Amino acid sequence: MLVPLSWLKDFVTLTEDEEKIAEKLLLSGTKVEEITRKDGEVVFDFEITPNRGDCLGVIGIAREASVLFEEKLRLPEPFSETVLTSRRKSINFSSVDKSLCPYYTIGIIDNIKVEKSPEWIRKRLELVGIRPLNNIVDITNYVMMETGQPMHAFDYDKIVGSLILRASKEGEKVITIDGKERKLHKGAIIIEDSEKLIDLAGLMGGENSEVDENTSTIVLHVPIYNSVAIRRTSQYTSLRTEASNRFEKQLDPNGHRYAFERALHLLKIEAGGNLASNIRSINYPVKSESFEISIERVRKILGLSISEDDLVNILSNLGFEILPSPSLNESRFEIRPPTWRPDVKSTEDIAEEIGRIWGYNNFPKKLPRGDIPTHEDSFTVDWAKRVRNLLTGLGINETYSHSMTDAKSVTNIDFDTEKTLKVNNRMTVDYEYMRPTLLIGLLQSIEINLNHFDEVELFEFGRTFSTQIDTKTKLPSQSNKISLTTTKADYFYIKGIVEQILNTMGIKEGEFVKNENDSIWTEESSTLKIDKEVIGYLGFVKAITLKNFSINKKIVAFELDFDKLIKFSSTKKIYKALLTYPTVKEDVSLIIQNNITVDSVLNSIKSLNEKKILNYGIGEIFSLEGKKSVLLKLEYYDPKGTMEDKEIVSIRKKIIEKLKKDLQAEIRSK
Amino acid sequence: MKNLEITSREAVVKLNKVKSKEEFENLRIHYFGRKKGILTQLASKLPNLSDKEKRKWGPKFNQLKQDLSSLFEKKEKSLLLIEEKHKDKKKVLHDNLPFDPTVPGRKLAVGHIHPLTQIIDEVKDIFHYLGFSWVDGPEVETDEYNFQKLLIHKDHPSRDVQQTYYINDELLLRTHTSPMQIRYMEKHSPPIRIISPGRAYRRDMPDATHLPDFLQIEGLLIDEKTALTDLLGVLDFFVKRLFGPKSKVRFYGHNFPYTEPSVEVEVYHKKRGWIEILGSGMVHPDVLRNGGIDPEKYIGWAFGMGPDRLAMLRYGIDDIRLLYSGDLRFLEQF
Repeated sequence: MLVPLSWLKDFVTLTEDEEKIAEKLLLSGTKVEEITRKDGEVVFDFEITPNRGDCLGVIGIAREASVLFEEKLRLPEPFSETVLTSRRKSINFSSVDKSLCPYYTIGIIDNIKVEKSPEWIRKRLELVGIRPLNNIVDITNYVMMETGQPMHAFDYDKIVGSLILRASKEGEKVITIDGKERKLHKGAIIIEDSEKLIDLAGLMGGENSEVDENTSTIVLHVPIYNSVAIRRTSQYTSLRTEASNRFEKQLDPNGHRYAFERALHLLKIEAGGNLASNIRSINYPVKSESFEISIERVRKILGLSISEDDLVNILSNLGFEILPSPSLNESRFEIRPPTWRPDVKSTEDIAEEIGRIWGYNNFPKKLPRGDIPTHEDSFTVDWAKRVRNLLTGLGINETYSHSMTDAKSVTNIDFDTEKTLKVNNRMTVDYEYMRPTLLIGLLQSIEINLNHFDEVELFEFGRTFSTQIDTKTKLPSQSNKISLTTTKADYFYIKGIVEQILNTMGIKEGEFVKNENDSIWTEESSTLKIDKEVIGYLGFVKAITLKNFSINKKIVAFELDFDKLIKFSSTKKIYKALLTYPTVKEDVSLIIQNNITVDSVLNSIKSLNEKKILNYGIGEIFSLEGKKSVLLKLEYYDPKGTMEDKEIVSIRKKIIEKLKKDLQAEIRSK
Repeated sequence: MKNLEITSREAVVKLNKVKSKEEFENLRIHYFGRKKGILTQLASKLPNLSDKEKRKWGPKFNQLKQDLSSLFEKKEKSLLLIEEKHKDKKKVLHDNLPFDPTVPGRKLAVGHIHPLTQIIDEVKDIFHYLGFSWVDGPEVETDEYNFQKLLIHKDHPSRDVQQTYYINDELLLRTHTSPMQIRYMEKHSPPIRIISPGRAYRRDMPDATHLPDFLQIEGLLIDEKTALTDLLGVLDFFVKRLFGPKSKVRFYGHNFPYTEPSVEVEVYHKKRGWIEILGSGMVHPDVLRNGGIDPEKYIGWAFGMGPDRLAMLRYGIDDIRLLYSGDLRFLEQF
């Protein structure tokens, strides 16, 4: 909200320079976003928080300043003339639903001469960003800016019969003063006369009752509307006006009377207006609800040992009434907030008033001294950090991509858009679907980076989403994933990385099962399973998928469910005694059928359960006469002493027999 | 024997021309080959020389053999280096040149941790030092947890500010990490000290300072004896750890539905002046109640900050979109 400093100074004496004034206001919570200087005027742009409807008027800000600079607030005298100077006119105004407009003031002013406003009004309106129109409209706007209370002037002679305020019915239409026809939803506040809708209340007046150059009599209506109804209509019609912005907030329920009188005063001076009816104020005045606070509690929340005098002082300067507590408890007070502060309702709210005026920068700063919690999360390991360190150590870069994506990318990665979580109120098509896999972002990054680099290797941690509802959380499933893509297209390279991740996370048993006909993965890919549970996939991405992402290089990738990996993780590491005696290493060349996996060779040896086989693994593998030649690497050890040849021969024989039996393996003669 | 010197010069010239391992091996065999190598053949002639000649040529021959061996050895090493250099193109062949310590060291392939992770890890570390652990929470949330339990009811004015992506009437993309306050309170009793980093979403058009998806870090402390002064102390400590002990911080009143009082935090930036980095406040008693915690017994405070913004400030990044661009030219700078 824009406020010229000169306008503020109408109500409070401010001697400090504008920077200082802005700073002091900001530190108490009335934030100055920007100070602009034009035509010798200084204009503050305030960011007013939604709880402070009272600060949407110059007087509200002046009140804050008066407390902060300890200066008196000088308000313009309201017009208090009750004698009617012209012939009595009347208007019948009623509301069907009192809750839509619980408080208002209404009256008729005649003898009006519609013309250009005087310079001082025009200038101030221009400074606050409102285009001057004519003296009547300008005065209503001027008083709104000054008091924060919007109002509307109808042309009395355009009204037929009585005025009724009611909620709109679905589909009703009104043409507002900007010439637009607006179709209404059910529940907008409207005012009608006996023939037509004349006002989209709280947002914009109707064209058919608008003040024009021929207007001589006006009905001035200063209402407090139901803030929720105004907000809904504003959202529904996508119409936001200076008035609706104020009506959406909680306004001073007594503010309408003062604003009416102030406007009447200006109309009299600047437009020749005369009061032509009684001023009718409904539910006026009201008293705000008082409540009890505990000073101790205020001190406890703030951590500040503020004296009772200081507390009382701050509150009464802000317009709060402080009464002794009905419970006669000395450390308690009965507080009645001013009617313009409907947001203050509890001890905590009072603590905030004290805190912000005291100035948070003047508080002592302490560190918490309580016990350090020991919940389960105090003991969790930052596995993601460890894996990140591993991968970056391998020379791979971490990236972040968007969690939201478009329909085309979802299709490109071979997911069904129907089964992909999407928002129902997208802003642009680029951000509509929740990524079902991190590979979308990673492949897009690969494509971009291939313009500048020959090799690209990237990984990302993040959540992926699905429409499936998780039974435990009752929310759509949204598991954390780790995904990696690389142009170093080698299945065993990426498998090596996956194995290192498992190793880093203390996971011993991972099973790599060949993928059968899986969406984006080629034949050269596998599913990682731990304890029969699917953790994720790794391997070559299909050429067609890569083509969808405009990549013309081979890519290997993996995506693993990181939540599941954490479930199987372990920090357990047990030292094994160093070997006392030499081990014996030897290689055995096997020939097996092509369809026999290396895993089955290893499992076969494992099932021997021979304690003296210390290590066994696979060396090179190559194709030989339509079969597979596999180099078996063996290491033997006996904790009791150096092994003798004949023992080794016997173990080797056992192994060979077993492999022959299980897998029909042949031994290649050396 | 008289050709000894010619042989030596020829060998050096030929050796210098060698570019591949194969050429080297051929040349080595040419000179040192066990049967037909020039040096081998020369050596076989030595015993047949007269004593005088032996005394003359013997040492010369030995010297030549020694020199050539060491030259060949050097060459072999440099060939190995060249081979490695082909793997890493920027390497310079130093051999046979005077030692130059200013030639850049080998460029090792090191991956870079994303700047946002670096910021989040740093925030985690600072708060870990103060006894805070960290937890993760859902990004697709319910209206109840994202809004209602935080006292942002259906018609609350601040719902405008938080332009929300809805999945359906009940489900939405969380607009902040604050729902974690309630989720954590529901399952844990005080004392509580947690931070919760994660993504949040708002219906913003992407531009240099806004994205529909971005990061936040929530913080929460609940204890029997704590106060606003602790919140201010912790945030002051945090800012000074992150931006340096001399950095300037200021606190001022603000308004959030779920904290009362609410405090905004700004840091001073040399070029850009005061910059908002944090929102915070004392947890509203009704929020504690919604999380199943007795506000008569416990006091809480909470804060929220944007790591995107912190990273931009810290590294002088002027466009938030770069952080999510996946561009290696950007990522490799951190």
